[in-house]
Amino acid sequence: MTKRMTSDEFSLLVGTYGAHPERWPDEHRAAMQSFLQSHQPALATISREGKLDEWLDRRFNPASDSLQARLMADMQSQLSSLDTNRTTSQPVPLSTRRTFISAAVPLAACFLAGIIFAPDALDLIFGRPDILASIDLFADEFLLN
Amino acid sequence: MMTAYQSSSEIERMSLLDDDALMAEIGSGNQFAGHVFIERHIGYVLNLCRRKLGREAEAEEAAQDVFASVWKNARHWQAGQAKVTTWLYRVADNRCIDILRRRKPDVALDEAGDPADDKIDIERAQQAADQNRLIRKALSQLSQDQQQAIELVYYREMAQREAAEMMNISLPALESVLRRARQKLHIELAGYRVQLEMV
Repeated sequence: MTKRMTSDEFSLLVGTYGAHPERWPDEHRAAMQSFLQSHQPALATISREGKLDEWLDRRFNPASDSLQARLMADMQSQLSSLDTNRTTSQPVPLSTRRTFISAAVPLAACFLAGIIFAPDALDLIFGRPDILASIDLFADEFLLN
Repeated sequence: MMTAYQSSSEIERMSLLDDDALMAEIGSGNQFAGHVFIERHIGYVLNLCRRKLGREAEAEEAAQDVFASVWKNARHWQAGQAKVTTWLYRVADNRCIDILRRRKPDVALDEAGDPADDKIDIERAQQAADQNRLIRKALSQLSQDQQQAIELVYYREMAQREAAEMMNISLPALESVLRRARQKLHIELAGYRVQLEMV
């Protein structure tokens, strides 16, 4: 003979194990099923918990540990080669460019200053303005011959 | 060398990115982005392959090939042209067709899948992936013992006493944990009823 069940007991067990009789504890299953057949309001509890069971079933079965490990290993080997390619073709870092610019600018300034002030400097050293004209003449001669 | 803390914060940062941005990161060789991509899409891809192939080993093989395509093509991915999940669906579908053909070489392409149903199928697959994400999120809100109890009794269909033994607690304690877990899940999922009831 199955033990009689109260409405509270029924709600408590369905709230614990859900709406599927196969998950109900063996020792209560028969009493719960008979309670369900004779108590219409119990259907509301079953319907509410049945919805939750249905929603929980929407979770995908997780991937096996071995598949996850294989995917991670593949990803690491593929992406590390991508990363290496990127390093060889990537633009020069900003700090390197800054160093280059800071060295080149004073060098260019010295070169420009040399062009502008060289005649005056020569004039100062030799005190003879015609020396440049002589060099010029000599160069013309050399180039024409 | 990155510390564990730096790695986890980098993974956290990547997990905030949408799929297009994640593809761009993968394309530039970011392994944290790859890690997040696997975690985000493995369920979706594997579920698709399981549905189409029905055999776990083949589904795993197909899923592995799908992710290999991701690593290979991420550099050329153009954001906004298609949804990443739609592209994943197509790659998975093609790979499954190849495997079905290998299984039975005389299967015609149109027998393996009806292209007319493709759009509906993609929508359904994406819907299922969204529902999976909602359930996982709700489960993650449970305490450690509640998650374990649901996992053992619900997903592994373990007998109550066996589950209680495994968790090293009494049967009444297990019942109490399960009851509180289900109550919390009702609360967590109440706001998503519409999404969860779409089939």
